[in-house]
Amino acid sequence: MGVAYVSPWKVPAGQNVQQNIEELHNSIEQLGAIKTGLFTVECESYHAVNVANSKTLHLIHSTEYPASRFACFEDGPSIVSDVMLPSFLSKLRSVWQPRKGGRIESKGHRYELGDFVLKTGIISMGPSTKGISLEVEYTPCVYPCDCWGIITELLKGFVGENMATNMPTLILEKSKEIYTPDITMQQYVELFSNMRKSNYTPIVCVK
Amino acid sequence: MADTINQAKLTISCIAQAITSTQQLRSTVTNVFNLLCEGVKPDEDHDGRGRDRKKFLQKFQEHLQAVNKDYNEVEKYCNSMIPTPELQVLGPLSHLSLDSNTDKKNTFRDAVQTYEWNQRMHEYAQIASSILLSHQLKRSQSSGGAILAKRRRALPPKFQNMSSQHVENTLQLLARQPADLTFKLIKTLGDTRILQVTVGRVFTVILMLRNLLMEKVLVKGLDEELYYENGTIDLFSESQFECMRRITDHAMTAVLQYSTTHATQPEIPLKYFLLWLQSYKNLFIDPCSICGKHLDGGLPPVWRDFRNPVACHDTCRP
Ligand SMILES: [Zn+2]
Repeated sequence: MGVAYVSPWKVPAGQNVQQNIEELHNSIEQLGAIKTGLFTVECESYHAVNVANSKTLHLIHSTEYPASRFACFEDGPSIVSDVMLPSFLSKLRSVWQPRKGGRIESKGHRYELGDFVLKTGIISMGPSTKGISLEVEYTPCVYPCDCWGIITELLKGFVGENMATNMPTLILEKSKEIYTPDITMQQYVELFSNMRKSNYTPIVCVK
Repeated sequence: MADTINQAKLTISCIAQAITSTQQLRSTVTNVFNLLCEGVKPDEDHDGRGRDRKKFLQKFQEHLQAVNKDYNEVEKYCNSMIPTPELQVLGPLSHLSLDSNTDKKNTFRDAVQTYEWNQRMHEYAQIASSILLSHQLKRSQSSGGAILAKRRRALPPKFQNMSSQHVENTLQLLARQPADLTFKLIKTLGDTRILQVTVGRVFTVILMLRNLLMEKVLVKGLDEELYYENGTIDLFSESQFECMRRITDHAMTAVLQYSTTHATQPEIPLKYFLLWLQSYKNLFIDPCSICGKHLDGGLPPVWRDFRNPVACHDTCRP
């Protein structure tokens, strides 16, 4: 477990997601990365029934942490729990209810390069494909501020020199503390929320 | 070989002569005892006790002189015998050759043969080593022979005569000096101590010391488990991270390097090694000093020179 950076991957106009992700796989494999399997990040959203303007609660399950469930509030605190959390939430049906169309997931391949773990996933909501997610995790380092240079250098290797190198706010807030997996999940939540907005255009990875 | 055979023949004839003269000595000694048993006999022709006694003494003297002569003979042969060189070298084993029971078992003969082979191998090894030394490849500044000699000379005293208190004080002194290193003494087993050294925000090193001599180094990531489930320290599982495994390898080389080249005082290698470790504190921050990049094949600059420890990729070594 190290520091991870989750970013959307822009699909250029005139190209479909499938073509684009194959291009992405090629450039990752050209770096020398080895395919090590599949991964899925699933997100189910809930909202409080009787409260006006309530914060959305996102329940996340990642194949990377099979025994854990992450519960993140929109822009707020998150907790790490075990596999019993969904059944517990279903007991609280009178308070928390799944949002309609609240289920979104990212599914794809997992690569390893040295101590890096790269995950490229196709984000889909129900039957519709929303875009591509790219996660870069540097496993030996636990302080984001220390290894940010390393992570961006790797990204530049296939994104190009003109990529934005600013640390995302989610990581920046805790960049001098030990990184925890729930920050990765919050990054996915943020990415998924942005993807839901139809007029969203990715700004981080400019190709 | 012919020499040995001739010598053996000479020895055998000597032994034969010595046996004959020993038999001779026995018979003359027996004569003396016989004479003494018979005592003084009265003379038949003449009747005088004084004369009998005189005659007896004269006879006794003659016998004793014969004994003396034979004894001298035996002594002469004994001295002329040359001790066989093998028997001397073989030490207590040579006594085996005197035991007639072991003749049936060939132990002595086998031992001598083994000894001869061993001797021959030793000779060949000496010849080979002299040939190798004269055709040495000079890859490093100091020749291999010098390193070997140094190691042989320098290492042994470090184990010995070092009080536990002295080691403790030295370690405390060393722990105070380098910034960015945190020390924790995990376990003490007699002369052996296990130290946990944390380098900045980068990694943890498990260092096994015998007195002040470094015996094992293991580099692990900050979030890796150092203990087994039962609470004992894990000295053998290598890190799950490739860069930490590389650094473990380099650290082991550094231990050898500093232990052989700075062996004048026992604490010097340890001090140099800790300073070298300290150079890793910015492992994830500093780019390679040669190519200016962070990554090479997915790995940060994991190599550090032993004299001038600056960040450097494995493949960029100057
Ligand atoms: Zn380099």
